[in-house]
Amino acid sequence: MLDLNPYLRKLNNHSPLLFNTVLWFCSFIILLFIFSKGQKPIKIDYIYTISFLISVAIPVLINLYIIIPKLLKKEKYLLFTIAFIANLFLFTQLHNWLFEAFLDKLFPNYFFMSYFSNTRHIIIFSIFLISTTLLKLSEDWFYFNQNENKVLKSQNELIQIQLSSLRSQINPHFLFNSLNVIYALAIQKKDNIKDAVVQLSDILRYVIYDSNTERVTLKDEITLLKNYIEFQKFRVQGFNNVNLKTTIENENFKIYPMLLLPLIENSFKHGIKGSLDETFINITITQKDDSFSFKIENNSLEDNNNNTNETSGVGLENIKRNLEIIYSNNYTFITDNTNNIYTAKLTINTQQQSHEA
Amino acid sequence: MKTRSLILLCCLAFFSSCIVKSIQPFYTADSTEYQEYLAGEWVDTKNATWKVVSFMKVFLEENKDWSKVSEEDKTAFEKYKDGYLITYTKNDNESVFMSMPFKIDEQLFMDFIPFDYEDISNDLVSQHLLRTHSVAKIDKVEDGKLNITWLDEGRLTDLFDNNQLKLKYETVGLEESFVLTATSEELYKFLQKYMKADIENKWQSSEEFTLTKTNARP
Repeated sequence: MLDLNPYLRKLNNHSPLLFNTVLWFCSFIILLFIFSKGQKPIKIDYIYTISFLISVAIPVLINLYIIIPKLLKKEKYLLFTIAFIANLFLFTQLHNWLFEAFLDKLFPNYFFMSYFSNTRHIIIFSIFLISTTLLKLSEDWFYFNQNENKVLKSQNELIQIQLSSLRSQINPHFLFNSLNVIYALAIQKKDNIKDAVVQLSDILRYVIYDSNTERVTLKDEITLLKNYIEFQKFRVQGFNNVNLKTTIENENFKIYPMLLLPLIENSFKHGIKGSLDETFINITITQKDDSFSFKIENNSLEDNNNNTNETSGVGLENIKRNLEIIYSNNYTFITDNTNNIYTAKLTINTQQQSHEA
Repeated sequence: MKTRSLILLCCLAFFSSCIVKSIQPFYTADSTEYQEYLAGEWVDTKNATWKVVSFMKVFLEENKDWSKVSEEDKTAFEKYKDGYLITYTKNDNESVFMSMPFKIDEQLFMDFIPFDYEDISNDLVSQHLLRTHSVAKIDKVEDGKLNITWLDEGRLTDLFDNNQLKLKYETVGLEESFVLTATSEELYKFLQKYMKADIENKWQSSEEFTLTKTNARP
């Protein structure tokens, strides 16, 4: 979890000069309109409006720059409420006591009579204090949201870098395994080595270019798997005991690319050992609604899990890290190796993920 | 009947020509103060007579049995008990005003409003008339004389024209004379400040009277 505070401190763009200029200019226009009662403002209206604004500015600024930062932002809600009300009543009362006396002193030949009574003044002060508080909170929320988006963007970029890094590990890993297959065919001087190279080329095109998106369709991913299985048959002559069973409701169901290939690679690498008669790979792919599951079984002559091997461990580890980043808590990935059968089962629920998003 | 109506209309026209008129009284409830010495008969320099009697005294004489006084009259009594009924007679023309004395910083003022309209209540013209308040400054001068100076419309017009005054008003009639519509509190505050204002000839008025008492109070 990233610490947002440094971002907030760094990116808090509140400009007191700009904020107050806009605030008091708008307030001046509104009050002038109110005090002139919709008529064309006259000189006495301007004098009264400016004087009134100065009077109301004091409690508003105290609220904005002392009470809110010291109490509201520190979640001292009760103290904030008390201070807010005290500030309101204190300055309204002072206004009622002193405002007219000051006006009379400063402008002895101006008669400010039909403006507002003292009871109306407390309403105006209340409106000012409440609306400026909301305005300040809105401004804070705006900057907070802006900063949060920047943090999320940074987090997203970080994830993308991680995914890109993981995927760049898969490609050479797959290429490494595939070149081993070509190498084996070359040693055996098989005639179909050209076909194998072309097929590998198709697989690599998908791996390098087509899979370079956030999601691919299940149909494309299964095509890759089928191509890969066919390609692997070049490596293991006479091995046909690969069963791929698919129950797909929606071929356009989207999944993260290159998620399943390492599991099949793993089975071919570690399962095709010993007698071909006893060798098998069973793959079951099921998709219904928002649920997707992939299960692969192969015979295993090794005592421990297949992924203990250093090279295959890279592929499985990449799968786990990708799953954690992409599907978070909406997946299960279980591997088991009992009774000489290695099983890997992956389930993904995209509905939960979309709800959480 | 017609004669009395014409007298009152002329009188109203006389008083309303240049003085400041208001829908609301110029005094506040707590500023009124009965002035005993005002009661009595006075004559001005134009030989008009001013018969000033206490409203309370008149009311109590006419309503000796308090139990028969209606609630409405009791309310009026409470409201005007510090006031006077002033009968103004000039050239045998008589009109009656309700007047209320009130003070602003020791300066005495009187609020005037025409009172006796019953005789012309069915007159079409009278139904177009609106009873308004006016205000006059009362000053005692030498030999027990009184100076009554009405607040002049011209002074307020100057303030309005110079954008120095914010006081609610409406203009009425073909002459577009203005009638103040501000509250009594606002009017009182205005007078309070007007007293202190540094305005040249602020009490210069077309309606200014000097009254001399002619007998002891009734």
